[in-house]
Amino acid sequence: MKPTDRSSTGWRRVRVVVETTAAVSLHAAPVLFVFAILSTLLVESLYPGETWSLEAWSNVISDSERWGSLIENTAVATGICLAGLAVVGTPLAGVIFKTNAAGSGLACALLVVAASLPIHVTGASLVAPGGPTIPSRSPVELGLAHGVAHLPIFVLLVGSALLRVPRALEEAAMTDGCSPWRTLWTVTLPNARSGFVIAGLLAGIWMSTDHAISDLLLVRTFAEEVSTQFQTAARAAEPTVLAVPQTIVLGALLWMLSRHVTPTADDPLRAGGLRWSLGRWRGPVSLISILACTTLIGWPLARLLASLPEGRGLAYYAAVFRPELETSVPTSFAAGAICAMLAAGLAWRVCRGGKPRIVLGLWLATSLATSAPVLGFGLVRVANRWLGPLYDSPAILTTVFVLRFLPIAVLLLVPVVRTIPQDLEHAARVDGSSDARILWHVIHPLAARGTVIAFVVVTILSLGELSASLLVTPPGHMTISQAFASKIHYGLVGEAAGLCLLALVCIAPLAIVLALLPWPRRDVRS
Amino acid sequence: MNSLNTPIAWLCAVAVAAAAFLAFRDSSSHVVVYTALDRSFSEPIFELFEERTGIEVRAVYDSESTKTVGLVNRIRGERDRPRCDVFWNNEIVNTLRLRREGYLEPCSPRGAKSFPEQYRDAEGHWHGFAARARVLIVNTDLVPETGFPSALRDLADPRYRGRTAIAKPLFGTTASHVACLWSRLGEEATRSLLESFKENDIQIHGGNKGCAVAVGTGQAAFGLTDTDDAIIEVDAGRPVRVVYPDGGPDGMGTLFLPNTLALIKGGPRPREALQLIEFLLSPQVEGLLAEGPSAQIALGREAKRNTRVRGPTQVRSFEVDFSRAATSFDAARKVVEERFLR
Repeated sequence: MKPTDRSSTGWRRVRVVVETTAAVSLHAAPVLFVFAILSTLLVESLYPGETWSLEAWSNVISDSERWGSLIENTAVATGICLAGLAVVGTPLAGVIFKTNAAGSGLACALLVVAASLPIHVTGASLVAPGGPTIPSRSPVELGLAHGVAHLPIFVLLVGSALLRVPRALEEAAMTDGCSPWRTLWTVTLPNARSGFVIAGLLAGIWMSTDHAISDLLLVRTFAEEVSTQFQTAARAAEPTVLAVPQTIVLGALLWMLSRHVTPTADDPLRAGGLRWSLGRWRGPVSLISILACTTLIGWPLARLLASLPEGRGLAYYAAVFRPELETSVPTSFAAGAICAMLAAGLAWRVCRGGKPRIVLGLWLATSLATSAPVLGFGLVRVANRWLGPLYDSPAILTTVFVLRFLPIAVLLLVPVVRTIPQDLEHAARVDGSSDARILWHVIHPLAARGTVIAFVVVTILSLGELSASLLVTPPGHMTISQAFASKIHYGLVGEAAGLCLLALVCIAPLAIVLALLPWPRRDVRS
Repeated sequence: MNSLNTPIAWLCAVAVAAAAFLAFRDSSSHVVVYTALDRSFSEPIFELFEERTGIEVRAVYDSESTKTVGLVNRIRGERDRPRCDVFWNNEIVNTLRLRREGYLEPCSPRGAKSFPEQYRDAEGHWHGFAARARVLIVNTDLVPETGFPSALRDLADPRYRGRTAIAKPLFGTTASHVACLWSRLGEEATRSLLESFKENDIQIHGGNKGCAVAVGTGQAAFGLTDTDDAIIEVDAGRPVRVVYPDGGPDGMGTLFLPNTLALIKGGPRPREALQLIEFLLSPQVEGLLAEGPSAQIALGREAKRNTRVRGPTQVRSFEVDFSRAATSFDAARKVVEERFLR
């Protein structure tokens, strides 16, 4: 028996090493790739030719006039966007998720569909409803456009946080004689602050790092300036230097907040907070909330679809834009699948602490804070030099989508993975399971619902991605978003509307998947 | 738990299926062209080439917002491992910048000699064909015929404060136009012209198309654009007229910018690239560009003339040394960025 045991133990060790190495490599690859891209750009900015030089840094840093206008425009637009979200989004989330308003299921479904509209669809419908208008160059208008575009996701995230407030706390406050308003103010909102912070932060980051709408409005924000400089400057040094402060500031902000915000560990499916009765106001408030959600999806669509030329249906546009669909759909679905596969493992490492958590925290902060054009341009630099076959194939689109949206998938899965009892992991470890096996047999099955959500969210985001994919798309290919942006720029609003219709058809099955997932139950208190 | 029941297994299948689909779709002989001519104009020509030769054309089109400059920087970024075979620029200044920086390979395509000498490089680094003019498009409902603008400086006419239009002069033909003015008039005169536009609250649009549409729809009284964008507005029945600025006997002339073709040095498919260049220089293609919606001005001796737009033989032409304009490009761009757009 002994020799057999020894052989079996040896084989098990080999298996554990192989499995662990494979799992770690797979999960570490996208994380390290982001650091490699940013490092390459930084080195290029310091070593532009044959010698090390700080010329690009000193040129950019000394241009105080440029900094002033960029900081002012970005700050004003971000401030307007966040203020709008707080003023409109918070009450809307409260009504839909914390009251007995009628049709809250319908409102949620409308919000999910509205959230899945690519940002430039909303932006373009706001700024160019009947053809190219005079670009306003106003950061206020930019902030408002972003506010409208991000409102659905803000409401969903805040609503989800409101639902996760432990019911016991609210009931205890009510039992102690607190009125519903006081309970809301002193118990519900403070306990949902992580949701507010995450929703506001994501909206702020998307606002300040995306240039799709600022390009339409010709507002000079950091993202717009970096994108323009990457496409016009002879060397990568200047735009890289320009992108550094924003990345550092946003990254540091994210890092600090991540240390103060701890998502609740309750299972959202079981937690299901209280909802308050609206009494005689139920009818009007329900109507207003449904109208608001319908407007979010209906208004941009109606403005675009009104310009759809007569006699041209979905079949016509599907035939015309088939090449764009054939590029966008597989690359986006592949990105969704890859992100969903990797996110649970990375979220698990984030939740379980240790040294990897620090590296992953740094990666999350850096990736989320980096402007999309920086990531796109850096990928071009790295891939063209060292990964030729990747650079020449549409797989580079999937790569850029994964690099951009994997952090978001991880953020979505962190609260889910936190709900998995650690006892299960300990039991599996005692049975001799490696980390890879625990991940495959314990974490993945128990995080299945979150994984599906991550898949859907990343696929939708990838279908709408423009800023980074514009720089990396290989010859002979064009994505739906690029075609859309191009049509809007050329003033072909009718064709853009047709594309918008096609994008919605692609997104509809994904939205249905989300709607079919089990959502938390709620009890009503008057 | 059966691991095949987990979403992960299904997600693996999605990823593999997507990769297989893309790999299957990507396996044919081809030539890569970076083109700044609008997709709607260039795509039918590529399809014709594909029909004739069986060689697939994989094009990278410019984005309307960054035009030629974006493509030029892409070619520069790929210096270590060129991917582009042919650069089809819809103007000349940025081609000359690439020529100066050593990105172009000389070639002698058949048919090149049917073009006048001023439209081709003596060493064969680039070949010009089918030109466009930089024109003023005027809304006839907003501007009385007696008050029609006649020169570029009229964009600064205070009677039309806030109602004249131009495309963002960092990209495309507008950037090249500024560089040409810079090389012909000098730095001070160009700065002064740009500042007068700015003081007149000129509307700045994302591209020449947007500028032409703004005039066509009455958002602007008149604006500077290219003939192809202007003619589309005319053909659409909008109340517009095309004016060739400074085209009179005393004027400095209207700027004509030819399309240019160039072979990229180190491009992976030089044989197919030469075939494509020869096809694009053929009288048939120039004829198609002239008769098509972009109404280009044929330059080849054998091509049919366009009756919808005027060419350099009919209007006083802005005489400029394009090589000097290419040299001035970066300095002009910097001034535009620092003085005009801020």
